[in-house]
Formats: sequence, C-alpha cells, structure tokens
Amino acid sequence: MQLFQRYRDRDFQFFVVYTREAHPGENYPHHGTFEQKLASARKLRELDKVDEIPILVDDISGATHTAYGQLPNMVYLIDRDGTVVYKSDWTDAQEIDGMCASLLRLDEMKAKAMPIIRQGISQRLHWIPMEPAHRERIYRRSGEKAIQDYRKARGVSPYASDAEAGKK
Amino acid sequence: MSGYNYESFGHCEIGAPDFWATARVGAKAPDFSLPDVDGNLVSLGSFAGKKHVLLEFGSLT
Repeated sequence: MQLFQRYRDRDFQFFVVYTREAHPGENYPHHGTFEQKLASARKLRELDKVDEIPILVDDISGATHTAYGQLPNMVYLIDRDGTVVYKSDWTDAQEIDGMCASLLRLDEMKAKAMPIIRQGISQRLHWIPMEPAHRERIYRRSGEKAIQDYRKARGVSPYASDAEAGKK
Repeated sequence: MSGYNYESFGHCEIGAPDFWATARVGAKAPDFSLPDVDGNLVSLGSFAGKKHVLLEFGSLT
C-alpha cells in the first residue's frame, strides 16, 4: 500500500509541488511561461500516474519552491497547526512513514491528556539508493542534453553504478 | 527569473545554500496559494486546524 493511502483517511493530505525542471532536456526544456510549466505538471500526472496525489504548480519564478529552500526532491511535513515538523533534502518513504506515525501518536497522547515535557528535535543521515534503471528512464525522458549536462557537471553518467563512478 | 529556470543542469547552484535555515523544523511553514493542474486554488492555510500536509517537491525531469 502506498503511503498516501495509509494516511489519507487519518487527517493527512499529500501534495506534489511542481518546480522548475531539475534536468531540462530536449523533450522537457526549462519553463519560459507558467502555461509551459502547467503542461509539464500535467505530463507528470499522466506519465507517472500521479492521479491520487494532487499536483500543485508553483509560479514561474518559483516563489514557493524558494520559500522552502529550492532543493529538487525535498519533502516537508506540516502539522495541522501549520508548523514544520519534518523536512528532508530527499524523499525517503520510510522516514515519511515514521514521521506521519509520530503525529498520530501525538494525537493519542493528547487524547489521553498525557503531558509533554518539551518538543525534542532529531537529526539523521539517510542514504539515497542508486537505482540505475529508474534514473536512466527519467534522464532519457528529458533527453540527451540532460544526460550530457549531468556528465559535464558531475563527471559521470547520471545512472552510473558506484563502480563506474569510482566510489564504494 | 531566468536564473531560477535554468536551461542546463550544472550551470546554477541547485538548492538554496541555506536549505536548513529556511522553513526550519519547529517554525511556521511559509504559506502559499497554488493552483492544482485542474486550476483549483489550494492554500496551505485552508488546512489549518484540520489536516497535516505533506509536500513533496519535484518535476518531470
């Protein structure tokens, strides 16, 4: 079961916020107009079958993307009081699941009138898996330019294995 | 604006240098009002007191 299905009936609303193209290519170049950005967002809904999570389209200058820090795959969880309770520089489903569960536990604590000493904060590292087939699909979708730009910037193919990239 | 919508990956810094200082954990989330792909306007504020909101940022590419 997908995460949004697990939590949608428990007071959670998931959204995708559509940003600039992270890796513009021949097929999906950078946006010149809002209409173009909207068309790309609709294409995302179609190609990735994102039909149950609403896609919100940021304005052409990226005002909302910028207000949240401009990373290409970042995630935020905002509680019903409007407070940021979780942010991450990359989408990690396991972490999101854990954090949604924490908010449900908080509701249980409140229901039992359990006193809270204070709000604690945690920090952690997470490890982003290299999934070559998935990445190759995304970059090829954008076009050869996107692949070449990545190679120029990073020195390796965007879907290189760790061995090719010279890392362990 | 042309700086934000860069034409080529690598020609611009990805992400704000102060990502962790922006919209910090424990702070009020920046409000927004954005259209979905069907044109319905959605604001963060409209969920206040009702639902927790998860935002995943992304693009086709």
